[in-house]
Amino acid sequence: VSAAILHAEWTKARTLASTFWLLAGAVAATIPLSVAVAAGQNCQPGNCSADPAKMSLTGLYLGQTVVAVLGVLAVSGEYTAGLNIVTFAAMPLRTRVLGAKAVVLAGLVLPAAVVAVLGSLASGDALLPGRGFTTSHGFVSLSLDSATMLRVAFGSMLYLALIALLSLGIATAVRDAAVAIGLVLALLFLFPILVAFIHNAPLQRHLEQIAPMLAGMAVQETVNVPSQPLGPWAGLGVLALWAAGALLLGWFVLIRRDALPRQAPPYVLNIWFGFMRVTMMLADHAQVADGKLFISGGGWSTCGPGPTPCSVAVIFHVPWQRTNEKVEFSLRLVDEDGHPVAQPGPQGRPQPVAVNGQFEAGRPPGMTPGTEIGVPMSFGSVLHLPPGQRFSWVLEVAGHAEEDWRLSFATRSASASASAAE
Amino acid sequence: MISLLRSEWTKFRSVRGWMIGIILAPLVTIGFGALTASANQCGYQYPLADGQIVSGGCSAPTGPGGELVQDQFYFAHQTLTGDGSITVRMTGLTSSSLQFWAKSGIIIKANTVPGSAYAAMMLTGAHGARFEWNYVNDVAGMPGLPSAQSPRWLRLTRSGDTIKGYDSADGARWTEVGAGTLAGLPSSVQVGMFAATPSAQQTVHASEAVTATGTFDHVAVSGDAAGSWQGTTVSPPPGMGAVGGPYTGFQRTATGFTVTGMGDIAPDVPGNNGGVSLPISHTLDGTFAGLIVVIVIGAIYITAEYRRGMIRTTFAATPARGQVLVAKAIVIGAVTFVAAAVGCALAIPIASHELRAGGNVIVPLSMLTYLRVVAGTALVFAGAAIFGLALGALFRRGVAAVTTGIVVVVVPYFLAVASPGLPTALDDWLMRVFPAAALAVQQTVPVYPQVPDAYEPFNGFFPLTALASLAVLIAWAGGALWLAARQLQRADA
Repeated sequence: VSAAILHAEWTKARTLASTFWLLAGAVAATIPLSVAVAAGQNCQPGNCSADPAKMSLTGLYLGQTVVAVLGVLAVSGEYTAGLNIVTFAAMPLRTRVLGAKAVVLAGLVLPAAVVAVLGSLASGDALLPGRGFTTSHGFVSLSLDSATMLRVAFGSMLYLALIALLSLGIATAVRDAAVAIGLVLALLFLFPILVAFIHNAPLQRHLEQIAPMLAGMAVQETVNVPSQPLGPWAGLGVLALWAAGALLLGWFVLIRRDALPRQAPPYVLNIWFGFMRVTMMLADHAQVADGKLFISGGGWSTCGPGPTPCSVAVIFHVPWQRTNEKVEFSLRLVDEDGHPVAQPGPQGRPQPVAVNGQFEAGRPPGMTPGTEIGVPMSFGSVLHLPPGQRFSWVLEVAGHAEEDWRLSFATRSASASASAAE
Repeated sequence: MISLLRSEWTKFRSVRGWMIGIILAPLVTIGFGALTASANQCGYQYPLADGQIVSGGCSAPTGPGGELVQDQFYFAHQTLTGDGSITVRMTGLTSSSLQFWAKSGIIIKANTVPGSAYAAMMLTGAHGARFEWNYVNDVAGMPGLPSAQSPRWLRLTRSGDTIKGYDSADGARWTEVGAGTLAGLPSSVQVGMFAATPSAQQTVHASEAVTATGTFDHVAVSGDAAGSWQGTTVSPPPGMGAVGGPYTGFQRTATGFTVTGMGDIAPDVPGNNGGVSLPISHTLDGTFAGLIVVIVIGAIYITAEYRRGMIRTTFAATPARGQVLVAKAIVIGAVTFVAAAVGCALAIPIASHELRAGGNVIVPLSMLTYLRVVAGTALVFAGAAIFGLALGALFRRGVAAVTTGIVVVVVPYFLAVASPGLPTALDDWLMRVFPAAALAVQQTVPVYPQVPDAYEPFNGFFPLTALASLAVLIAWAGGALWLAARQLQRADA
């Protein structure tokens, strides 16, 4: 992950107003619920097995949903606004972009997590001892002066960051933001509901070991730690595995989407290639020299019948982001019905008229960033076409065609050409 | 409006993802329900003296009203033929750990088979004298615990199918506490003294045998009573609960009897200490998985139109935007209702089958109740989908709508059911205020005041009645829809 990509992602995240509000919302959702739960406790000595640390962090159940939204929007927000295309066009190295997003997201969530966790623990520390959770009854003191409480506090902060990363991974893989957040919240909340309804101790224990929320929150245990299904750090480790798995899945989907652009939905490509403009013209003759087009007899739209010299002059206006990249194209001659038009080939056998090629627009040194770079090309041929029909040259770039990337022309009817000869 | 509905339905039908989602919702509901059902086992296993292992599934006797009951107590009895009565004086009700609903007194019972018809006049640990009959009926008499200084007199009279219960402080002035009709009571019945106590619920050593002992004197049976006093442990089917063994029995004293027993004579309420039955709601454990799916579909049903700019075309065709929203709500509500009704109608028998295969006992379900639960749960699904739609129209962003929907519908239920350590008052409040309250439509067992127990959502009990809870759901969905419609009129598309 290079500094430049990180900086770009940081700028994007920072300048979105929603980022700030979501982070504030995560804190605002966590602390009041934690306070309400702590304030409602009434623990009779000897008759109360609840875990005060875990209880004073109850608000995290709610706070994590806001963090999950942040994680989803970190990537899905761009898909809906079309910004992701800009990201990936500017940074073909998608792995690094995803990595940068993950780093920036964790960096944004952690400070909010510090506030939410410390605020919740402080309210628990203030309220719970007055409600029976005293150290004299064997409960842990909630002030952060023991290794246990440091583990609880630090682990809970990491928990929120991991939830954000899990959401980022799932949203990258799924792309539809609403479906992604639905999946994340289902993953978090359905496991515990399922576990509550299963009266089967071994299976319950296994589910508690693999459920992302239940396992991750093991890091908050302070009562009967050895008898829990998972150790505190092992539990957080399970959540980390979930997050890593989700990111891996997202990454895999991301690079595959790149490798197979034809399979990507049309609207993605539209936005992607819509940045590339093309100028095309029919000419009697066209030639490229010194990076410029020399055209003679350009701009006609009728020809023939009889053998006609026909050149296609093309200028690809390559956007700055797409420079230094190989771009494939094809130019084909088709008839009115879109079928390829054949012409006699070298051995006299008919062959479809088509040119396949590729170009790479270099960035000349000292060029102002953002400048569009023109790539001129010409294709010449002599065509024998039947009279009185319409034909088109169709250009495709990287398997994609635009409405105006075509040149249409017609051949004169035989009688019209005869009268023209008189 | 008809054409609007048709065009909205066409829109819904033509998006493959939405159709997949609406089929997915009932499937996950069935799947999750079957999964938790197949994981639940109930049964007993113990070795006999010769080393042979006896095992079997759970079972519970059925009472005269068709409900599952607990019927376990110690019975010192005689046979009474025809009409007659029994009168006793009680000078004590004691226990190693006196439970509020420890019971001892006199009883007239069709026979000693668990689940048979009875009527009893009893004293309880903390609820005074009671007249109870046929498990579900309970009437309060005099308050207070008996003692040598302050004894209690109890009387039962049989006349045909009617049994009346009386209590008295002095054996002279009697008060009728209640009368019960035991339909089809045979001519010969068992009459006598009994003792039972539910086991302690909150103690650390729950396995300790808790017994209750009643002390009787001035025992008098009138009518055609034959034979000497016989002791019987009325017990549930083998393996279901402790039979008492050396702990229970009856003894003659200088002036009367003491009867010591354990168990309870009460409806078998899901979650009840000593009860085995599972509520119908356990066959619909997958409801929340399905609810998440329909919330997502409801939200996307409108946010997708915003994202693709389709909404402008829609509003250009129908300038009355509120109508568009209502049409969408009707379409998504109806489609979800149908899909969810099919899902629930299948989920209940499938999960019930899985549960029974695991030895579990499920509360009986009449066809009418089955239809009510299916229709009610499908209404909850439809309400959640409409709520999701309204949130989508309100926020115009799928993420915001889905998150709000899940936080409002699913998270309160999760907090109330699956998050330990929450104050009970908060649990109760959550299940009254948030849409998940509407799961009260899945409650089929009434709350019995004489059964002190875990009347919690987890056990299929909800604080609101089914109708009130649906009103809560409608208030949420309708309120959000109203806000969304107002917003649509004001804002640009």
